[in-house]
Order: sequence, then C-alpha cells, then structure tokens
Amino acid sequence: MNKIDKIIIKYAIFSFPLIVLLMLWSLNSNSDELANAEGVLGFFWNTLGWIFLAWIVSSLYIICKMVAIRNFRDTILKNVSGIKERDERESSISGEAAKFSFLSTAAFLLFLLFLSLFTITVQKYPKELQKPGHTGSITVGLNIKSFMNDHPQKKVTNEGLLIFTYNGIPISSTMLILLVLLWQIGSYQYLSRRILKE
Amino acid sequence: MGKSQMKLNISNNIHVLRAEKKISQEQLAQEINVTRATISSIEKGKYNPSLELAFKIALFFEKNINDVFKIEEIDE
Repeated sequence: MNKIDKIIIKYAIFSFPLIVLLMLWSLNSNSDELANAEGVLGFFWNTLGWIFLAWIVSSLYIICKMVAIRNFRDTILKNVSGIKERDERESSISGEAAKFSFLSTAAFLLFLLFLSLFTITVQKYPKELQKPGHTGSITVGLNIKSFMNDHPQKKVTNEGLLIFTYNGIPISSTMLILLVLLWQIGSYQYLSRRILKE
Repeated sequence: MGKSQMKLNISNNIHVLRAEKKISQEQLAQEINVTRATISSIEKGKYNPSLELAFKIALFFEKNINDVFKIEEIDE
C-alpha cells in the first residue's frame, strides 16, 4: 500500500467522528440557517461541510479501489475482519471460516431472495360478494421487480431546476440480492477453476 | 470381501524432542516461522502439519522425519 493510500485511509477513519458530529448537529438544527450563519458558527459549519465532502471523496476512492484491486482489498478487509494468516494452520482456519461464511451467506441470501419475491394476500369479501363456501381468498404469487421508483425527471422546484439527484441504488432489493448471490457464486467458481488449472 | 475404510493416525514426539533440547514451544515456533499455537496444536495431535512444515521440524531437531512423526493405520 502506498503512502497516499495510507493517508487517505487514515483521513477516512479519523475524520469519521467529525462526520458523526456533523450529522447529529444537522439533525438537531436548521441546516439552512447554519449554512447562512456568520461568525464562528458559520465557520465551523462550513469547515465541517468541507471535511464531510473530503470524507465522501476519500471513502468513494477506498471503496472503488477495494472492488478493483485485489491486494488492496485483501489488506483492508483482513484488518477489518481480523483475519490472521501468520502460518499454514491459520491459513487453513481462515479457509474453513471463509467456506462457512460463503455457504451460510449464500443460504441466507437465497432466503432473502425468496422473501423478496414471494407475495401473499389474504382477503375477506364483503357480504354482498360472498358465495356459499367462498367468503374470501388467499393469493400467493411471485413478484419480480428490477428497478425501484422511476428516476426523477428534470423539474422546476422552489429552489431552482433539479438537474441531478442520487438517492441510493435504484435497483430493487430482489435484483440486489440476486446480483450479490450471482457475484458470490461466480467469483468463487472463477477463482477455484483458475487455481485448478495452475 | 469388502474393502474396509482405512484412516491414518499421525502422532509425533515433538514435546520429547523439545525437552531434550530444552526449548519452549515459543522458541521452536520462532525458529520454524509458525505461531506457538500451531506447535501446541501439532503436539496435541489436533493439527497435522504440511509436508514442508513436517520436514522443517525434523531438520530443526536434526532427525529423520520418521523419527519425529509416526503413522498408524486405523480400520473404521
């Protein structure tokens, strides 16, 4: 890991308490007033704002690099999850634990996938619609939805023209679970076949 | 006549060799680049070392590998 990466990671970790402070402050105050405040209060608010922006950028950098670069990912996540591989026995233990984690997570993801797809509706008919032996219905089905709500269109608001907004991943929970499950199984298959060929 | 399931049980006398050489588990672990917990697990029979590690241990004690590790067959 190079020096720049170490500085960025340290910044992301040590500035996090300030980010929490900023979040708590904004929850308990009117952020519009604070943004326009002058003096010491305004200075602190604006400084925390810049710190927050730098934290977003550094966190995004770390997360993207973790996805793209294996060595970087392994170093960071091994420290985060406490994986120790000082010798062959610890490597073996780590392998067993990883296998357990992989299989149990895959099972849990399948469970969540089923829950997200499954729909059930229990309905009682009004008296005028009831027939002998048919007082209600139970409907069971599967609901596959790929995306969440529609993307917001350009619109004019009281604060101006809305050009771009991002409010989280736009795909549905079903698709997200499915993608994670496919990634998990796919990446395992890919690496194990590559190692077998060596 | 059916084939019986053969299982190998690997035992070792590392604790005896350590006592003869008057070194602790920690010292042996440092010499062969493993953790003390690994040496303890090997001595108790809870972990079977790889071929490489088994040879390292034998070389350290200046013994033949068969003098350090013993294999016996157990019929299941």
